[in-house]
Amino acid sequence: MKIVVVGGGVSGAHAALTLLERNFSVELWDVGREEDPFPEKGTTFHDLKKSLDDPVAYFLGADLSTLIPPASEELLRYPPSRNFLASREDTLWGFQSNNFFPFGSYNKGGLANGWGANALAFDENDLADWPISFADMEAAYKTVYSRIPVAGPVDDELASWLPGVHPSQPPVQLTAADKGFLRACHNKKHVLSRLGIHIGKARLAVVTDREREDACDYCDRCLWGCPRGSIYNPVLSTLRACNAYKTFRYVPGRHVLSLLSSDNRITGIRYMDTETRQVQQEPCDNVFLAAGALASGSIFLRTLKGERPGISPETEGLMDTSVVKLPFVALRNIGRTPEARSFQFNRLIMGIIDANGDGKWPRYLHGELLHLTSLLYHPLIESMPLGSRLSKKLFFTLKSALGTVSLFFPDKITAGNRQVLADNGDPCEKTLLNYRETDERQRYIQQSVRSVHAALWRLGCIPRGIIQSPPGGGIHYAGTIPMGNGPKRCNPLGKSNLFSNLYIADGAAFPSLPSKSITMSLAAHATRVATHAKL
Amino acid sequence: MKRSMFPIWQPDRREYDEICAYLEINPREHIHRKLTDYLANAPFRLPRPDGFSLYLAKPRLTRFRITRLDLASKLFFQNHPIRHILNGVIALHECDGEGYTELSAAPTGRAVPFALLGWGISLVVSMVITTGWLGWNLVTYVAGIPLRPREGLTGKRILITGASRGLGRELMLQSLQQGAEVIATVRDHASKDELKSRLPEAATVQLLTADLSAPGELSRTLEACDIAADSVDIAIACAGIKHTGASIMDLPQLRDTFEVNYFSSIDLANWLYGHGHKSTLVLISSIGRWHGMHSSCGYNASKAALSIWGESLDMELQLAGNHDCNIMIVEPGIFESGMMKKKSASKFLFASRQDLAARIISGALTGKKVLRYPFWFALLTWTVCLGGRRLRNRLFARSKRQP
Repeated sequence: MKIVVVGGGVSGAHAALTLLERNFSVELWDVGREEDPFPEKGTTFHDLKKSLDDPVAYFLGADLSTLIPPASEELLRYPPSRNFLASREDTLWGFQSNNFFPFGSYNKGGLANGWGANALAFDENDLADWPISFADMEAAYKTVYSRIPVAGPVDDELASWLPGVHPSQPPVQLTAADKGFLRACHNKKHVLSRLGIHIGKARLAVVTDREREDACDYCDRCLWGCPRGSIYNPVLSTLRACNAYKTFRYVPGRHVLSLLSSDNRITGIRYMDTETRQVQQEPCDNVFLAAGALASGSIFLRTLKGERPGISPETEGLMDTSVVKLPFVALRNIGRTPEARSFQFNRLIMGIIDANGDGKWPRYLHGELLHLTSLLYHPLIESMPLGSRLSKKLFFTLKSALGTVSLFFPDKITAGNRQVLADNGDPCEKTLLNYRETDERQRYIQQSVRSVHAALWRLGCIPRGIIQSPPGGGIHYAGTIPMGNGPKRCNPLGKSNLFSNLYIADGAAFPSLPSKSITMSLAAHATRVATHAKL
Repeated sequence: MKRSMFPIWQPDRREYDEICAYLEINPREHIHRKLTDYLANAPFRLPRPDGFSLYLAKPRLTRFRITRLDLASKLFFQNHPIRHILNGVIALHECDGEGYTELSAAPTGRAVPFALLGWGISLVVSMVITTGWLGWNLVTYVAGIPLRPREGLTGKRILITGASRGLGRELMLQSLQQGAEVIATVRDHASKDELKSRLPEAATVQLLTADLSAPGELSRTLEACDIAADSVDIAIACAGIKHTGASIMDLPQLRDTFEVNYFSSIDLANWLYGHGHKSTLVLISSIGRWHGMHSSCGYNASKAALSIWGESLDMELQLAGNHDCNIMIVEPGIFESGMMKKKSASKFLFASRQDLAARIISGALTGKKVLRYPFWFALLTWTVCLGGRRLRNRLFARSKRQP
């Protein structure tokens, strides 16, 4: 029996590993590009500037393409040294849109090469719109948490709101500024509780146990690519575990376009060989779609057009979390000398919790507290309303005190937000991403921002400005082949309602998108689908 | 040439040093190189400053001007080149280990409130000085508007011959900086490759190779490259040679001089006006066309012929009713070029090549018939001419003997 898992990201890796553990032979098809190795293990971000031969080329690109010009709205460009993100000029790029700006990756490991490492699990309330309960997911979560080392506290005040999260590593080290912030939170606990705000240490998929060779050494280069592999990456762990099975075959260089069918069963896969650019097809017995919600949606729509021309080639949904950043200045940290080593991503998290349960969904709104370290600062300096000399002096005086709260707003399947096959004569048939922000979510954002701003003032921080990422900037895509009834959906176990041997193993199957980071839930869903698939 | 190719955008080494001093960081040669490369593309990526913003961008950057422009551009001219220059310097220095250390030096602990107070006071003082400075510049800008060359070639197509060096290259760079699409001819492939390697990739320039010492080569090249005469708004015949030290009796070299300096311009005019198109033709002659000169193998004679021929062509075109065609004759004084190098004894006679190029472009845009720049040099020349041949002979012979 030939089982093909499409996509080598988190979902694909966990689906494949689960199937291998069930003693099936698995082929994992992937475009499979690989990122350049990260230089100088152990060297901190700022020391890298001294030790590299050409640090300017490393940080800004040989053509200085990531030097952000004045008056730009951008404050950060992804480092040119990280080449896991697909360019929109890439010949494989399969999306068009005027109002949704997606990110994608054709690398082995997919977007998980650059994820933020926050490892939370959905709870009963998060899954309210799903045809399954937390109990149905719990076993899969446990499996995933046993595969992925997660650092974090076991019993802080957030723990009771985060069931299903099973930290196995000590929390990441906090900086003096973080500790001061937590002390302030403790002192203002009652005020914060009235606002529904709870702050604690982050739950992160990072190895922190110093006994382990791949433990984090706090080189402050999370965004620039963890040189020790401490942050979970499916390439370094799950796919490596798959490789230990003789029945596993990783097949790179295949860009899956659509599926072939007969009598409601998938019989083959149509793909482009990325080396030769030839479109080919190959028979198979079972397919697990795990290319990411947008790519899986595209494959499904092309399949509909080819195999079920009577069904309109547009998805039932398209979701993404909306990320809102609230910059602030923590007065107590002004003039503080920053630590030479720290963990760059968020070390603290915030839960805005509707403890009374007055019907708001989700009950838990996730926030991440981030301080400014290891970034290129010229766009921030240039955005200050003073001359460059004074701006840079002021910026570096305030730098230790600058931070942001990133809030992740949930999404639901909404009429009109969908993926549609574009009829543009392109051999790879791109899909259009139609997306419109809802008024309801905007109201939710405004209300939550007011609460967080109020909390920040009480914690001795001056909030300033609101930065909302454009649609698609949340990079939590979901809901293109969601669980539910109808031919363009899948059943609660991820099996397509249209094709009996097609399984939706990634976020495409999510019928709603809670606020919490989704990577652990993607892995758990893939594990659950692969566990229950009747093959 | 790579440095300060587009002076509005690119600080030269001295200006870069001033910027670093202003930002309280140490200059670094490799960073200046990268900054120069980065800003070489600026005219093609970024909106061009104009009006008062452009007026403020032109003079050399000194510490005082940088301080004023930094604040003024933040408040009023957000796309002013200084913003891109300062942002570029900070971006490049923050990627350098020592550069970042210098850049990020900041007060800590109790020193912070005092530093904030000091910066606040200096900001107020700086704003007062900047306001006065801006006001003064605005007055001089407004007062000088009638005398200022007109600029703006956006959307125009300009043909320039002899673009590999000197005035031709300057005209090409200024045209590019002003948003023109340029067709530039150079003598050989080596010059073309050298020029191409130095120009930014985004430069809107088409480089053609044409050896103008071969009769009809220019028009043949233009036709072979499918360039339509009616697509050219301004054609500038700038190519010229001077066989220094050669006698006027040296017939092969004299023919060569006339072929490049004179007949190639006629070839260009035939190509341009052959089918009744209406464009501006700029003929780069010389103030030397008013007098003879030994040991330059008829250079002055060729320029005299060019000026007279150009004036005749203009007369013919006007008589035929082609009032939209303009023939502009340029008779510059001495300026630094491939032919003339500035010497300390005579440097006071030299005009700025940049200013000359700017005036030629401005004159072509406004339909000027004759440009003699600097005009005082023309007056001087005519005075010498009135002094008689003996005086000229003595004067020019002495200037030839000078090292």
